[in-house]
Amino acid sequence: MKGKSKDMGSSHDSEDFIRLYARHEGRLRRYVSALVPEPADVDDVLQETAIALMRKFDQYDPSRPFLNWASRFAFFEVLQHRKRARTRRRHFSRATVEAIARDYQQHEQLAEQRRQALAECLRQLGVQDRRLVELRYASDETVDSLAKRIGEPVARLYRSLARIRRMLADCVRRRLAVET
Amino acid sequence: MNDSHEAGIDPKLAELLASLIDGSITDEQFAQLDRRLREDPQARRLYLDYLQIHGDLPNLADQMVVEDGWAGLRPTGAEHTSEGAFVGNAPAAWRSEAYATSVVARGRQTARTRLLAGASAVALCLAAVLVWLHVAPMRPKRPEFFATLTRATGCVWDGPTRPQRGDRLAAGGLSLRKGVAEITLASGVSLLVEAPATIELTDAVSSVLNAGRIVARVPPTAVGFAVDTPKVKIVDRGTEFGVSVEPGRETVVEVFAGTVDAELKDPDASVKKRRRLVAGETVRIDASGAVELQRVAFSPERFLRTFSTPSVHEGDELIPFKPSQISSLDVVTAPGRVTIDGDLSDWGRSGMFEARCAEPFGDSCHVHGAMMYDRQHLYVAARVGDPMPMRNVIDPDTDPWSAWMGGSVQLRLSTDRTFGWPVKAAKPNDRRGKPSAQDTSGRIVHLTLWYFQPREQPCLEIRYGMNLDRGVVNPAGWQGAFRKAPDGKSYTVECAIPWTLLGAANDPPRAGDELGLCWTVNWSDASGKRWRGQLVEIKNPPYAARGKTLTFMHAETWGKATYK
Repeated sequence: MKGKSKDMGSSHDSEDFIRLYARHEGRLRRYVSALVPEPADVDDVLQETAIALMRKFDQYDPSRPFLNWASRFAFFEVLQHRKRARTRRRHFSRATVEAIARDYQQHEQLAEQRRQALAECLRQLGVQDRRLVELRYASDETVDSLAKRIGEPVARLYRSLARIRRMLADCVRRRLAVET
Repeated sequence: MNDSHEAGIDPKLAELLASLIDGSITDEQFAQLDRRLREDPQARRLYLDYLQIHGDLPNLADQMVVEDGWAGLRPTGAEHTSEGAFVGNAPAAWRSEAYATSVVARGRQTARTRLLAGASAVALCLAAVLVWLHVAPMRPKRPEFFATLTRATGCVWDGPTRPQRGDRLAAGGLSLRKGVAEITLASGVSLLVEAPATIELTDAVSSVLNAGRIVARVPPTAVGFAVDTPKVKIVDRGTEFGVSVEPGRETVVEVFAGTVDAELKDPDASVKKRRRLVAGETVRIDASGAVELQRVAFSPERFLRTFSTPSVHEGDELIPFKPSQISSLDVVTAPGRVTIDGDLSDWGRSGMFEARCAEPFGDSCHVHGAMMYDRQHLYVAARVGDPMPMRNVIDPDTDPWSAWMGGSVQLRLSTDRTFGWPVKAAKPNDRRGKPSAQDTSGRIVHLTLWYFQPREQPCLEIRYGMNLDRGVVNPAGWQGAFRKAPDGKSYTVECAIPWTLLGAANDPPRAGDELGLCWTVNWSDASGKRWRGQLVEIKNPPYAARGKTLTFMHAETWGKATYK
């Protein structure tokens, strides 16, 4: 099989690429996370995507949005990854991946509004619920370890968190419905 | 808008999404979810809503903690750390008055600590105790957490504060004697601290570095984040930079991405007080205050690793760059027949070079390497210290070009006796000036050796020329063997490669020749495919230090192989 070259372009290009990539990595990661359910796979796909982008960087038209261009590579790597990865890990079906990818850009357009709405909705949570959100999300700790530490049965903690998330999702939706 | 925003959320779907997010989803549920997402645009919208919430909550939760202070948080069991340490284990953990007081004490103390910078350690402790006693009777102030210790590898802390991973931090000093720590501020800034280092956390948008080295990664929302050092203050204008302060020696500021403003504190009259640095630029301020600005290229690969690697898993620390220290290696004549079996007892000790990764990885990641030759073959041997030896899962049949990432030994060499040393070949697109025939020569070779674990197969990939655009994988005629040490902490690789595969069927290297050579050893994590770092040795001295031209693009960076 003919090997592909490690083509990095000129060193000037490399710096431009790094700058662009650094700026957009977070959003690219979110895109991949929507298409790939397993977090470990997300990292693998991103790494492959980054390399592919770097190798093809000389084909990128700087007058165009970087993220649009990069997302196409990411999408391709998602599909490639599905072919390569072992069966033990779960993947969305191909049709699902394509459907999510199609809807993603439109959904993203309201991302900032949703974030602000979420901040507002958080302030409206009851005191206990706020505390749970802080405990769960403001540190690295797993839910199981958290449950042990605060003395709650694990199943009950998962249910509470699910309930809170659902309330937040509902609240965000209603706020956006009002504003749009 | 005619959409069903007003309709409630389907509870069954909500449950599936919750299970997915929590990682508790069963295969059957997953199949159901997959089908719903495929068929129902509303379901997809809700899924994306959930993902966004789950993604946004960590940052917002941090903000919440800062805003809430202690209001309305129910105490849980108090978790005590060592005497005097003030660390928050969880926002809701209640603290006794004594701990609250010590935060106040330390907060006041930081200004004094700077004044006492020259004092001995004993005097410092004494002063700290005096300050603490002085303010102890005062009303305890509510501490505000604005940071979390998100990663800690091999950390040994000096001083009263000894946080553990997951602990929340308030304003105060931290002294790291060993290890690598990552502190994430509520603003989203992440500080990677390498021991030995003394820092002070001031608030979510500024820190002080008194000694040691940190790398700050600043998201767009926290532009303006500042690091204060004795000689220079750095204000971030977007993304990532590193600062290192060596007491009595030099301060180095290095920009990896984006822009920073560096403000010199004791500037020479002749030197600009404030300057803007962009990615690739480094400022060094030596002990006397003299300032030097350097423009360096840096390794995009290393950088990509930082960004594309997950930020959460313990034990996946990246091995920091270390300048090379060896510039040449003797390639000795093989003493008769060499058996390729992974046992290096027939190699003898002479001519083996040793190199260790930067701390704190020096004990676990290192290499001893040697080379021999005869009329037919080049022989390469290495003993590589590796916590995850021989786990590479990158398949030579499908992805040989990325196999290096899963743990490997790589050599770059020139086998053309007329090229001499240093080798002027460079990647054609990257060179300035006229292209040279050397650039595409088949006698410029790049070797990658790895052990493909799923088939228990030693592998070799050879690329030719500085374009690396033609190559072979596991060609006939080569022999290689890998062996893992009994303690599982290192492996040995031994191989024999015919000169015919290295472009030197005619006129292979002879005694007296000095030709180009460079070694790169790569380490991966437990997955056998995620790159953790590398060591590059046998380099041409002017190129030994961080960030200069890349070895796979410029053969002039390669060191010397002296054939004996």
